[in-house]
Amino acid sequence: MLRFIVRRLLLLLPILFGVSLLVFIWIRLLPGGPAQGLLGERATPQSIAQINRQFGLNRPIYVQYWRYLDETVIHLNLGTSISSFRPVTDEIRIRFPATVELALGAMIFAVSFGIPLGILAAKKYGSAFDHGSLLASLIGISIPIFFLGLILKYIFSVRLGWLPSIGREDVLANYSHPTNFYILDAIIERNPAQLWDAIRHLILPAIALGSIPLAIIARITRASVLDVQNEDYVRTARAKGLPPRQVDSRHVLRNAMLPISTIIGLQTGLLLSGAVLTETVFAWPGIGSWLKDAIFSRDYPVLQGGILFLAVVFVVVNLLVDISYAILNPRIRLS
Amino acid sequence: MAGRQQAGGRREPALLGPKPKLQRIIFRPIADNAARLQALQSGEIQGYDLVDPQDIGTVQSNSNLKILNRPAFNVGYVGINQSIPPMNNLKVRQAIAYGLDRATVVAKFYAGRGQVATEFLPPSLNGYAGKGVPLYPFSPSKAKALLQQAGQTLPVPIDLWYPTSISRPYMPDPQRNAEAFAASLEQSGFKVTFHSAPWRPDYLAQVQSGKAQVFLLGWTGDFGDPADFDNVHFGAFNPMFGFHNARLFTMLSNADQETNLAKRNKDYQQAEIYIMKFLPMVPYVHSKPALAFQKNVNGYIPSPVSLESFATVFYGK
Repeated sequence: MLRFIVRRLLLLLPILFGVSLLVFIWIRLLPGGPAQGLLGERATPQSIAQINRQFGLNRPIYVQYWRYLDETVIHLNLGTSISSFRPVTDEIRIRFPATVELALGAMIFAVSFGIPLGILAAKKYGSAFDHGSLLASLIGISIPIFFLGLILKYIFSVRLGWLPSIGREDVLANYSHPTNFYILDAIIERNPAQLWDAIRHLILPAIALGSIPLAIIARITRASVLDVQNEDYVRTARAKGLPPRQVDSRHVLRNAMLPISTIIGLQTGLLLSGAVLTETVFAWPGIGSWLKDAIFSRDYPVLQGGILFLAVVFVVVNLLVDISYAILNPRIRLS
Repeated sequence: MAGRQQAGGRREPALLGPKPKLQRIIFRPIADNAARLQALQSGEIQGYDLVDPQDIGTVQSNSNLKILNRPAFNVGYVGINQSIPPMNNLKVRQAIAYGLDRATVVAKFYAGRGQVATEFLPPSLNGYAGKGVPLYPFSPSKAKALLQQAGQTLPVPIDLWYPTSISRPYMPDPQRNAEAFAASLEQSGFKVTFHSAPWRPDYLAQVQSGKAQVFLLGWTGDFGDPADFDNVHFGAFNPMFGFHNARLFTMLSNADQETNLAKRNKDYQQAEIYIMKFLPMVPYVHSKPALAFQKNVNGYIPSPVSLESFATVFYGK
């Protein structure tokens, strides 16, 4: 297992090199540059040339790439944002925890409701509940996230006033954030009001973002449970007289979880790369909207550093999924 | 405001000037228009800037909210690049001016907050001519006659550029403006081909480098002087407009250097008349941006250049 993990981590090096080169070339192929992004309507040929000189963008491309490699690989510096003039690492340190919290909140919502829904649908196969859950899944996958977000905010924030519509916490509060994971910070600070404030702000965006994963997990769970419960070993377990609950938990669910855990891992990895629409609708300061803004403003350091960081995250998440697979399935572990 | 939810300020007793009534002000970045409106409706914010025209009715129909108007200090225009033929021909540019149904566009797409522009400067600014400026009322027949006088074969093909993924105070819905203008131009002897690109930096890069033949753009003033409008755009060679006009450059340079205010105004008025005869662009709208507030927020005085003091803002009557 350890060799497997080390081998996968070593694969990071060529992956990161490839990603860095691709991103470096791709963003420079896009029309316009950071100067036009910064100056907008106020750009003149002179001001554009000045900005390009200031950020070394007037140099040959191989010189720019060498400087970029030198900064990131040798000095472990992801550069400074052209838009905000802040180090890219600082921005990631603030925004990534926001994205992680939102992604985990969405997946907790999706898994908590998706798996039981899928199991029930499989158990009541062909019933009105089963058909209803399929219909609900279709609706969940089809409804645009930004539309769902606006509806949720209209009902629960504007009309009922139960939940906040934007942000991560009450702006008038002055809470401490040692880690920038707001829920964890509240636990560290042992502040129940802070904890409830962080959770309140997370509820609506997590539901909006988790709607599609919930639908997918419910469908996969249903299909997987249906597959497994017709297997010979399950029939044998029932024939042996094992209680139904034991058959379900030890044999059916354990084996049905394999594809479900893969889907959960992949969905989590996708969500960790940022949820642009949800972040925009809920003014959630995460990675997705940050990178989207960087594309439009051609903020090269943010795009280069941010995408490289997300590549690392994606590889690590996939590794964790594979490890969980091995834990769940001894056959994989032994092979 | 990198990754932060807010930036703020506190009342500083030691500073000179009127004593602010508020203890603290918090600025929150909210990128989405609908999210800003919902935050105001739910009471999480007390006001926001750049209200979408389609949301103004929603705000006004809510008894707890109100709209404040920022005076019009912008211009939306159809730019013409004279480095791309046949735009170097004055009669063709005049045909475009007569072929644009500006009144209909302003009436339909500005929610009653636009005013048809007859010259580049907004009316509130010194240097606005008002009288003597050639007007170009929508007239397809006149446009066609001008094109024929210019020796053009009808329909004359033109490339019309508009930006996507953006709403500006002078151009809330660029695509609809472009489509409406194309319809009136095609009545007027032109054949329009659309080009579009995301606003920044793609669209601006294309237009500012002189690659767009005819394009939608605009300008919001930075400070209260006509140089910020006229000299910035027409005071020297600009690839967007693609012309060398020594007379215009000299007029604007002299006007900018004039320190006597009355003479300066007169000089800019003359320049405005000349610009509308030369037609590097066709202005079509000056619009009033809107701010929305909770009803109990008072004392906010909108500035045409968005330089607003919060010292006078207070809650209640």
